[in-house]
Amino acid sequence: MENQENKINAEKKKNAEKIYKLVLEVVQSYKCRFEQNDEKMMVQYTSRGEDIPIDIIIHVDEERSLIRSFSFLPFKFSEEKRLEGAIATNAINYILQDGYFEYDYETGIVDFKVSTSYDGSIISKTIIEHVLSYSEYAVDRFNDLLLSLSKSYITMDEFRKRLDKE
Amino acid sequence: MEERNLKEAKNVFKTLCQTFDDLNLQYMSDEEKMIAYFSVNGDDLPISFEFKMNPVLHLIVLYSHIDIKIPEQSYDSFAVAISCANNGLPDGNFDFDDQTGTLLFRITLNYDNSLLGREALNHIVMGCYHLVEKYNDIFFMLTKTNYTTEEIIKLFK
Repeated sequence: MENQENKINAEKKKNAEKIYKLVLEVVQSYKCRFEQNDEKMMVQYTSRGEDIPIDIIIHVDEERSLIRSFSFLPFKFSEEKRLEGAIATNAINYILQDGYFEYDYETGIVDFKVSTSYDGSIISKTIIEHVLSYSEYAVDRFNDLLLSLSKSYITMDEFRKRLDKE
Repeated sequence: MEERNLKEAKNVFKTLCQTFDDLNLQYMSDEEKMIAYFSVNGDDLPISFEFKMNPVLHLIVLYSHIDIKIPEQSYDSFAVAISCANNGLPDGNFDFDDQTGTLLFRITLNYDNSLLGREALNHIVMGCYHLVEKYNDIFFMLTKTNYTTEEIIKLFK
């Protein structure tokens, strides 16, 4: 029983390392500065968005056989804007095809998250490219809208009108 | 849409249905629209699984509609609840439309240029099942009782 478990864990580790190698190849091909943490199988880099730079973290989750990316927005919703932050992130998530804006109601921090499973699969670099490009696309498309709402530059009604036009 | 994308999506959809057949699952499907559907009994409420292909993004998208009627006066509470439920999920998320009261769980699997394993399909089905099963009774409870924001946050800790 224990042997079987060890074998499964060794296989998981081997697969995760293969995926991590692909992740590194993809990020290296972007010719940007990046930081890697081989132990945690995590890579961080900054992409140039249309409005503001976008920090992206991509992580290979060995235990769950997942590729996950996180992109934290460089602002947060203040306590008095906390409910609006929840309503706005939910409204955006509903129109998204992949990933979602994760919102911590207690802190007002927002990040965009995309994940996909590679369990038992043979995956190509294009999947990793998709995870990263979709994160950049979603953050670039919605960060100014969320920022404007968080800073009270627009009202909730204006937010909805602008979201309808997206 | 590129012909290659559509062909790839159709092939993946066939594999998906083949997997359901192999598992002797009772399901409905529309090959033309590339939609498959089945439901199972959860502990509290039935859980539905609706698979749709997104050929442009090369995704299998699994939706589970949570069939509860959310009163309009609870929409703000639900915005808080869904944010709390989504915070820290390993994969997939709950979507809430506060214009219609629609609530669903969504999880995706990317197949672009790749060979998907049955384990990955199992991951999205079981991931969806466990999370919907875990939270649907809390969501149902929220439609029946008024909770403060602090109480809602506690429900998801």
